[in-house]
Amino acid sequence: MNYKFCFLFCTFITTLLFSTVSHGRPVVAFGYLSNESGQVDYNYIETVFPSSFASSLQAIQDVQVLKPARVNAILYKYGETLKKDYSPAELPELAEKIQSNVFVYGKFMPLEGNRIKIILHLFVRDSRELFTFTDIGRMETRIFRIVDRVSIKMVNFLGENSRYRADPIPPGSRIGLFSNLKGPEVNRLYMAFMKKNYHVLSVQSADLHNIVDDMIIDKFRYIRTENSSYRDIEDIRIDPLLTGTWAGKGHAAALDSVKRMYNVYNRDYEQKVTDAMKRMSKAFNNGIDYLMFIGFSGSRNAAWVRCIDVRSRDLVWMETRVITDEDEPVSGIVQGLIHRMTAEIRNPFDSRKEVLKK
Amino acid sequence: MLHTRDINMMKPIRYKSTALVLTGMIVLFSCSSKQPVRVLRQKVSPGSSVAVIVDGPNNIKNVVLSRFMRYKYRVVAFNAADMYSMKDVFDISDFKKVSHTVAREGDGRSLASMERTFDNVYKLHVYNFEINKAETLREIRRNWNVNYLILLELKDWEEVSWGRAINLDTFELIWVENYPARYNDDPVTIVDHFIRSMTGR
Repeated sequence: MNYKFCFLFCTFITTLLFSTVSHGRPVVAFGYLSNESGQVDYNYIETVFPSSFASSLQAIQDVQVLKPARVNAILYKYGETLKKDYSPAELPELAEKIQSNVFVYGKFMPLEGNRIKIILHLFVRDSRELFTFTDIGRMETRIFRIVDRVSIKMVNFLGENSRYRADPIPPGSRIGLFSNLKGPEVNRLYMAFMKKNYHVLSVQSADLHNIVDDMIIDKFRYIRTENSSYRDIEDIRIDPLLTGTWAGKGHAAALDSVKRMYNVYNRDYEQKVTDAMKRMSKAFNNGIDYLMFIGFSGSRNAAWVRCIDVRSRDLVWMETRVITDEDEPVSGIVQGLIHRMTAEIRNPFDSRKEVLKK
Repeated sequence: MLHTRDINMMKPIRYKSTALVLTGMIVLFSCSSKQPVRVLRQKVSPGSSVAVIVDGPNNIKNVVLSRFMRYKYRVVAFNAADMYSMKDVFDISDFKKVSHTVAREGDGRSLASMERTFDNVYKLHVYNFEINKAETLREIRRNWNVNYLILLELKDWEEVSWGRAINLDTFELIWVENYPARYNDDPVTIVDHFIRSMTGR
């Protein structure tokens, strides 16, 4: 009887241990930060920066990090090596092989005026989403300053609200607002912005009936602009457009049209957005600063926001899972958003440094 | 100690108070959606040239325009039908059919890549719609010399009416209001209220 109990107890403990291992800390793997300058003197940064980002992340979040050398070692088992660049379609398979929840890679290039441009891609395996942001700032002599600057954005995105903000959106800005709100509740949205001294433009507000419904606003959850974007991954290669000797002329022509459409509206979509933003700026006499999309849930007590800077034609702000428990949910959500549009982004590394000083 | 008679006497009072509390809560909840909203950033002065777009029965539309004229606004004849019956133009669902036609052989699933392509076309369509609208508003300002576009929704005037004014020089929203109807209100009093509100009186 006792042996049976012991066996059952051991089995239970083993199961617990294994489940802890398999559902342990999230794994964040880092690839190279590819040197796009063409100057070999900068090659050392390709691994130094990702390793520094990894250490920064590990210092403030309970995650397991894999630095480029470790990722390379894992890939070696598959007869592969870590590449400097990946197409979005390659990422799901790569993340699966290295068993990471998030895979981070990117590129950098020194700019004139002692500045550096860093483009970082964060691929989230479970949701198959890819977030890309561009950071242009001073080429600091103290490397930790650059690492902190970029890591803050990375940490915020990996947080619960997938938050990203390039810069504050100050009161006085001229904003075009898109939402799926209807009737009188739209005015509640406008009022919140107007009372905080934002200039709300006639985007959508010139409509009696809002044509943007839940289905349409949902398409704007993913935003692609030239320098920064938030998208999901799809792979044209696994969707073969079948053809052969059996196919007639009509089929080939149809296939060509589909491919052309794909190239223009998907592969080169960022260029289309840039063109649209240029035309929008002109249509509003250069008087529009930001285009903001706010998608509300059916009960209005949850929302997400995406914001494009019309002048730089770039995604500059996004948040997901914004919630409120206010009696008037639209005002509650918007007041929270407005606060975070302007509030200083907390630097999580400051508190760490304070602790280290003590 | 309470007797049965006392308890029986208390029952109606309890029911009454419960009913009162419940009614109060219902009124409170229903009012939260009817809470007034008003912001005025710039006055729409009488004498200005305005284009008024109204959603409501035709007889109410005439009432609205006549009230604006009575308050000395220069009301420009503006047929909103062209601008606001864009449902068919906006509907690009045909493209979705294309993306579904190009389905994977055998399993009938539509292509994920084509779905994304479809989404992107939709998004560009929304951008273009707003660009075209801004250009139309600019034309209205330039060709018809209209200073302000005023939108009024009086379809549910017995509950809540709402209005907005846009300065066509700056494309900026300068007045918004949600007005919950009060006892004795009718379309005329509501429009008069809106006019007084946007003139800052």
